[in-house]
Amino acid sequence: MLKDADRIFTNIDGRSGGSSLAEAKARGCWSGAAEYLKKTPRELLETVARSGLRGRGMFARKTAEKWSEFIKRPSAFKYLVVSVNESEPGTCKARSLLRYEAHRLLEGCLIAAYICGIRRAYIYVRGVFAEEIEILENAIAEAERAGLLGMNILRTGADLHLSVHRGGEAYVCRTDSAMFRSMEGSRPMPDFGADGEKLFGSPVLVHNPETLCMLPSVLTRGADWFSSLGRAGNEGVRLFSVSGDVERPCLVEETLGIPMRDLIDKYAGGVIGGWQNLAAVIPGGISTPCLPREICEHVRMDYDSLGAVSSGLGTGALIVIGKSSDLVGILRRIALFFKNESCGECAVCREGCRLMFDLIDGIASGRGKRSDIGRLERLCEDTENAALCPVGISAVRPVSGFLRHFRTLLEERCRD
Amino acid sequence: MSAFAFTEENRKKLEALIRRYPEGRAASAATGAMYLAAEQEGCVSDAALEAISEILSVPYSRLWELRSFYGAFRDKPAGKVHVSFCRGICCGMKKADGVRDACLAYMNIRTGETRADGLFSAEEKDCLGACSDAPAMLVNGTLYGRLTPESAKEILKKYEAEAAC
Amino acid sequence: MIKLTIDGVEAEVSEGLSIAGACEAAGRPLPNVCRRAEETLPGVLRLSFVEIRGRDGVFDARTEKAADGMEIARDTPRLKKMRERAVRLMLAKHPPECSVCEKAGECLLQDVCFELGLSSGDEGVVTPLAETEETGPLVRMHPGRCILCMECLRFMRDVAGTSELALSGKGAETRIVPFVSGAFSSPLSGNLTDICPAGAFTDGSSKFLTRPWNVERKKTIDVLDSFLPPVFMDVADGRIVRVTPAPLPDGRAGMISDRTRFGVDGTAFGRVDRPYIRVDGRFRECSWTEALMTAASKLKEAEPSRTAAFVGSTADCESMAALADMMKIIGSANVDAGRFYARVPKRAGRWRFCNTAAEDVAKADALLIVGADPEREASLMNAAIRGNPMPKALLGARAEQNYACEYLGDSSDVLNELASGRHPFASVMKRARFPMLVAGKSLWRRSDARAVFEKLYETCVSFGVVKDGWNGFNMVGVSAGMLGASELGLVAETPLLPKAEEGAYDVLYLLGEDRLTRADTGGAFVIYQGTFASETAMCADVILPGAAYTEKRATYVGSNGTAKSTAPVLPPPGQAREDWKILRALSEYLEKTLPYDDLDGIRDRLGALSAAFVGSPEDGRTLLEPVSKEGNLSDEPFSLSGEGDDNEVCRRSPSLRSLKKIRKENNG
Repeated sequence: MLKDADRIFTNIDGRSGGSSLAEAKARGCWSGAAEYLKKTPRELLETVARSGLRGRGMFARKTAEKWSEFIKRPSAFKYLVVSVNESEPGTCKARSLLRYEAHRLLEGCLIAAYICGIRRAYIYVRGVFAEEIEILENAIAEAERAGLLGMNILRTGADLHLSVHRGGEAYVCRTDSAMFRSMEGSRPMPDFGADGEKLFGSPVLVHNPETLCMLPSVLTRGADWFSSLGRAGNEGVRLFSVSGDVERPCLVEETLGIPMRDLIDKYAGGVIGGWQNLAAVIPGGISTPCLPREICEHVRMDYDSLGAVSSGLGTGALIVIGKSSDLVGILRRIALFFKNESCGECAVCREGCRLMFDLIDGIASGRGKRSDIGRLERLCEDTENAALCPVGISAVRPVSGFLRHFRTLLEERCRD
Repeated sequence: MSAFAFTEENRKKLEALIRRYPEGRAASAATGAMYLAAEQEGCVSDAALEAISEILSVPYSRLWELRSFYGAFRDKPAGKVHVSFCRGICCGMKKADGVRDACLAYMNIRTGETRADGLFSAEEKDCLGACSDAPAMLVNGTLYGRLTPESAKEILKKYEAEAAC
Repeated sequence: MIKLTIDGVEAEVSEGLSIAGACEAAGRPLPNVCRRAEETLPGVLRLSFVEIRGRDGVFDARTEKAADGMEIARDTPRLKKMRERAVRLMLAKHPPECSVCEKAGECLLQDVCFELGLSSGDEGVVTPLAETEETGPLVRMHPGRCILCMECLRFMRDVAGTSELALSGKGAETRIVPFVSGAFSSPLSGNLTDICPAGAFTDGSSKFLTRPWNVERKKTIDVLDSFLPPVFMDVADGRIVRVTPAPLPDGRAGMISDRTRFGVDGTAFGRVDRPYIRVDGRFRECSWTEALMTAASKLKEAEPSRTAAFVGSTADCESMAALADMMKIIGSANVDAGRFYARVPKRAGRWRFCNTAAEDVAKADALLIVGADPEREASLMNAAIRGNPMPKALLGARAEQNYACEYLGDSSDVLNELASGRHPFASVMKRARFPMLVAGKSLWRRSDARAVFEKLYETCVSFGVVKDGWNGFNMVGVSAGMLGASELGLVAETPLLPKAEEGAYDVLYLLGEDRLTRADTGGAFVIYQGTFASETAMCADVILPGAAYTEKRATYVGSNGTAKSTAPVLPPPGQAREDWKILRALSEYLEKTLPYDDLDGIRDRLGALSAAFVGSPEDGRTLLEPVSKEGNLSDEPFSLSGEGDDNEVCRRSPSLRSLKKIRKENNG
């Protein structure tokens, strides 16, 4: 269990106030900036490397490695983009993060930008977060007035100009190149050519907001402190959200590696109807395969443990499904989500998601045949192999997870 | 000449938006411009697209393409009280369908419709990003969570009363 | 160069290619619906996967770079299955109407399905028949057949530079929609029918005329576009049913403008296909002998000084040379170009031509346009201009260009300012290493043409538009007919048409000239040699039916000053004959036989008349003749060349006329 003293997100539930600069400072934000900005970017990068910090988004790459590679890219001009496009059912951290911890994010942006030689950054926020965007804009304005952003930050010579880009609402923008096209005013579609992975023609570094929020604490409290939490390869803390068939859906910060059962029982009040009523848990947002109760009993919430059971930590968003919920109906909703959110660029995802939904919908409403399950399996294989971007691959994961652990439920629903 | 014009204030906001992007990249302000038009008119009309096309020097068809792609933009006006329901799985597990059906019955419309008197309109979205506060809905952009059919109707009644004034 | 193995066969290719590009280069391409491997967006159709020995999984051949020592397998059972299923997904919404689709037999999608042994999409998927969008009669759009490869979008956006195609909706509802009033406005829109790998864009001019397996495909050049692009003409049932671009010398797909593609039907109607003589005011059909004898006797009778010949827009170089020789033999010096929009004299040298080679346009780093509309007057060159992000400015009548272009107004003062270096754009041009200047044929019509060209010469010198190894001056819009007449020296210093109108001539010989009226002929005896039952032919006294450019081996001079020859695609109709042979036969009746009996002979004659007919295009490329001062610039603003096409075939083409009408109705 995470000790309060080790907590990074001291205000994720909003109990200590809002995101005004004064309140944020009172909670410790920006306190270390004057000191760490005196050090060289190289020194700071080494600290982050020692901490073992990994991205808190879907790819979970070692942050310091990502930076080392980025720094090598030759260009006079580079961008940082924070991807706050959270649109996946189950994941619900961004609103709280922007509402109550905005300055922590801004400070994290400054650190990443400083280390990587970036002076211009954008925060891409999902359009529907209207109130949160306003709060973020105000936080940026306050930070600029206080000399914490803009030119010559804290008189150290560092510059960072930060703007919010309000997105139009498209899940596909979780793929970086689609997000760049969206920011450039084009229809968002992934573009993996060398030029497609640039923003406005320049190299760009993309980060999940939670990753950036870790940085101030890593620098001020030290790499050793961070890596002492969790275990090798899975260092530190992160935000977990627990929703679905639990007594108290919640958003909590905990160490990587906390047992799933602890999260559910100790923070979320346990499964409605008791642990035995648990049917399945989706551990990291709907693009991670679901796990049956037997596995949930013992599995830990970190990258390696979940990888070992053919699932993933994803966004750390647990969706708890009780026996009273219709699992097949839930799968149907998930398939509908991907069908709606496919951007349409490649036939594989576009038609594949549509056909997967049609098959699952048919089975869920009692019109399906057993042979449909075989077709579904083949579709999954095709889509996963051939999809142009991670969205298509994500569309397949929940279905293949379901087929692996709960195939009989589908078979029972078929009419033959 | 388009039949739509931004208010003075919105025009200034749009110009500030354009300045956030590099020189020659006014197209990046396209979605921002559409949000401003939507604030003014309750939707992004064809006339608004024409006006934006002029200001940003972006071809009309490209703006049309964006409007038709993004879930955020409507081409017909919403009602005075516009409700977005969530069809994600977490809201689903917390009986969001019951909340939705009760609201729709109260509003006397179906999702995707605007009531004839222009008071209510409703849509469904794939996920509002408030899963641990399920079931959730947006009313005129504001988030309400942990709803029951009764509490949701109360919220609608409040908006209805305000709209009447 | 790197070495790799493709399906067990070693190959050597250049470095830096993707695996797909390397396979193409090695002559062992991947099976794929997209025509141009390296140019398309990385694998939108998701077919180009390969396996690489020693590496797990499959790899996207378009995004993965080929490396030295790679062992690539293009066609393992796993890959076969993947491709088959990817195509099945593509077919999921494709209407099953191959039997009624005009693309059948030449459809890339169909070919891929055949190659993979597919006969249906996903089982049980029923799709409605495709509807047609309103995009005009010539380029027809059937969105239902679209497989969303996005090639058309890329073409319209990047090459044609219009926003007439866009995507609608999202996910499975995605469609390509046209933003077109009446018809596509881009003069390159016809290329969509070649680009589309399925039947979503089809050529309306050849609709239902025949099936691709019934045609005979012949290669020739087009003369309606003065760039003289190489084309294929498909012939069936004795008519030309379709024109498509022939591949470029380097093997890439070619591109042609709409006039090339659709204008050829101008040769199909209103033809004169037999000789006529006028007797008692009315036409009587007669034999060649009678017609030639009548013409010859009139020519012998007439005073040489009162005999004149005019060449028109459809005349080819062989016949123009023969005509000029014949007039010399008769003793008459009265040969001139007939009614053209602009007269371009031979002494203007390289001022008449596009001197920048197609591949060099990409090198240019600044562009000034004077009195021209490159998009419509030189569509193919314009595509290259558009692809170059250099700074551009336009002096002349304001026309919508499909690229960012600073508008400098239309006043002749601006030319003065540019020449003297005072104008801001002058410094842009001076700074450029390879500046380009594109001038339009409207300049030749000006009363102060000489002064204009003198100023242009000053400008070219001071900007370095012409220097060692670079000639950036390009004259656009002049028809091939005028360029041929010009190169053969047939454009007289003083126009002769006004004299004809005044009745200065007793006998007029008209070659390929269809723009004159009875009033223009001033009561002379008119011998018409040409292809159309035009107003001009109707006022003739003898009609000698000739062959259209599609029916003979004939040479034309192109806008870059090089001559190219057509190959006959059809025989001339009825009793019509190849034009130079008509003149040769006539010369026999004049008892002063022209000294060439065959094609080689007449072509030798052309070679003797001008180096353009034998020289390589490089000759004289970097020259631009100095223009001496003669008069001052007038107040006349720079304009465009205005309505009307010089080429008679285009004027008569039903397809081009309907296109023009629709565009006029819709663009006001």
